[in-house]
Amino acid sequence: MMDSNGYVLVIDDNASRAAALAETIAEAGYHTEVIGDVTQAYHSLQNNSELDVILCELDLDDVSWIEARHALRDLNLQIPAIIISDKAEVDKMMTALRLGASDFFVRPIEDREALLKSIERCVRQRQLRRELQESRQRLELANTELRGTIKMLEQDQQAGRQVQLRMLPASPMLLDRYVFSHTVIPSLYLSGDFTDYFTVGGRHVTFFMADVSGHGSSSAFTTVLLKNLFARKRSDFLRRDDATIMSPVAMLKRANKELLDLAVGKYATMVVGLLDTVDNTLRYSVAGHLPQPVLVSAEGARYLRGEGSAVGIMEDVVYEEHLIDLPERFMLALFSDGILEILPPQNLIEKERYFLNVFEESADSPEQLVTRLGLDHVETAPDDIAALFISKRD
Amino acid sequence: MEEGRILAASQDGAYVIRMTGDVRLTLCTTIDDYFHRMLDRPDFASVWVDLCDAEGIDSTTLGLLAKLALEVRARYGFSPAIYSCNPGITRLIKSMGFQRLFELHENICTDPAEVRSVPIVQGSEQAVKDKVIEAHRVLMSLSDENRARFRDLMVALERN
Repeated sequence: MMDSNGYVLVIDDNASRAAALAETIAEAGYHTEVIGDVTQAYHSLQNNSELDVILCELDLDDVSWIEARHALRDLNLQIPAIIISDKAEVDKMMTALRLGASDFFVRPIEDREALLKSIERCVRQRQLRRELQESRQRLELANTELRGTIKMLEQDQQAGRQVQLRMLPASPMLLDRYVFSHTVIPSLYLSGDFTDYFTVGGRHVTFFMADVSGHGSSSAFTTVLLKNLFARKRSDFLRRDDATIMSPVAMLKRANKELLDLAVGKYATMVVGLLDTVDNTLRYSVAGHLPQPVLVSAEGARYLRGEGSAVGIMEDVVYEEHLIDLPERFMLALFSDGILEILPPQNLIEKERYFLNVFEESADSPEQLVTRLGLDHVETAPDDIAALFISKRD
Repeated sequence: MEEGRILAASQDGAYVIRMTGDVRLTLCTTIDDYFHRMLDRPDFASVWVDLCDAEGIDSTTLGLLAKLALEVRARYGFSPAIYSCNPGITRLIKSMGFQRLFELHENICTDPAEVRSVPIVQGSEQAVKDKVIEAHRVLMSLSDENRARFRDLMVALERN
């Protein structure tokens, strides 16, 4: 079998004629086998994928080719066949063609070379079909494996998403006349946007919005790091007299250091705020975050300005701290830049103008805003979108 | 918006990185590699970034540019020039604090007067400066012959 030019099956009920043909083929370097009993042939064909080519006598006793054709069709043979007949008659040739023969020879076979050439062609064709089938099987296998892997990754991401949702603060959170709420829409399962708010001592609430560069798991993990930093500093304030949490600038500097130390090339734009519920004042700081926070009151809507680099890019960062008196009734809205992507205008400056205008026209409640901005029916966001609302009501 | 492209061209150690359209990177290793190779070259003398035809830049790309500026400063002691003449893009890079990382020009870099003040490797000889200025002049003149010298760095990226 090995080292032969191919594996040829001769089907002929005339034993001496078959042996002579087999010998000719064997001399040309083919592994040959003869089957004289046609009923046996069916069985051989069914269980022999090694076969390269079949040489079959057309004028066999007891064989109805019409019936054989059905049997052969059921077998779905991928083996090329050469049909040999005693007569060069049209109906014989038609029968051979209908049987799907690759070639047709008439006895006596005078041109031996032509027959061998034909066998060689059939063997090559058979090899190609085999290779094709093998690569198809390989592909199908790889595809199945990939699907499995993707499924697993998806489940993993969904689990991660559940964990991330758990890390977000309660929404809404009511504190006297102040209301805090948030919405986070990830572009994939896990979001690089994160927001948090929590009380510090008896009169303060610290809040932040962070948008970590990139998407997906690594960005989501970075948000965990930031949440952890804020929780740690809150605890340090309560237990160790460390006032970092009371200063948005100090918190941004800490966040900057933590992200730089992480050294994974992730940076984040942030807004950090400290609300004093007794004085009704806000101390805040902005780190490269767009759009800037929007303050809505009876006087209309305005951006809370603030300059500063994103955190996690450079060592020596400078941040501004702003202290403002808040109106008696107000709504403060912080969004991540994903919101800008879904606004109609083309460039950033027009988007910022449009965004502020939405607040001017319809800002009685966060719910209304979410509807106005089309956030309640975002199918697939091109980027993560997060929103944090802080309101003071009568 | 136009599909984003990142193009790069160099001559005599002077490099120009040009971003056009809406630049979004999912994988940026190719471009990162290019920047590293550029900074490792013994004849590296200057690089500037041209954002005049950029319509949008995502956070990954901004991070990549910031890293480039930081490395140029750390290794060669100068801040690369960045040209931005689209107010929206200027607003974006300023909000990120890029004016502290780059020498920011809010005008078109093809203005011949601009080429006289290319920030380059500190301590360079006057002859080197002249050569770099000339190289930038060649790179920025807008003939089609020169345009063909820009390599598309994003073509090399596997993008979905």
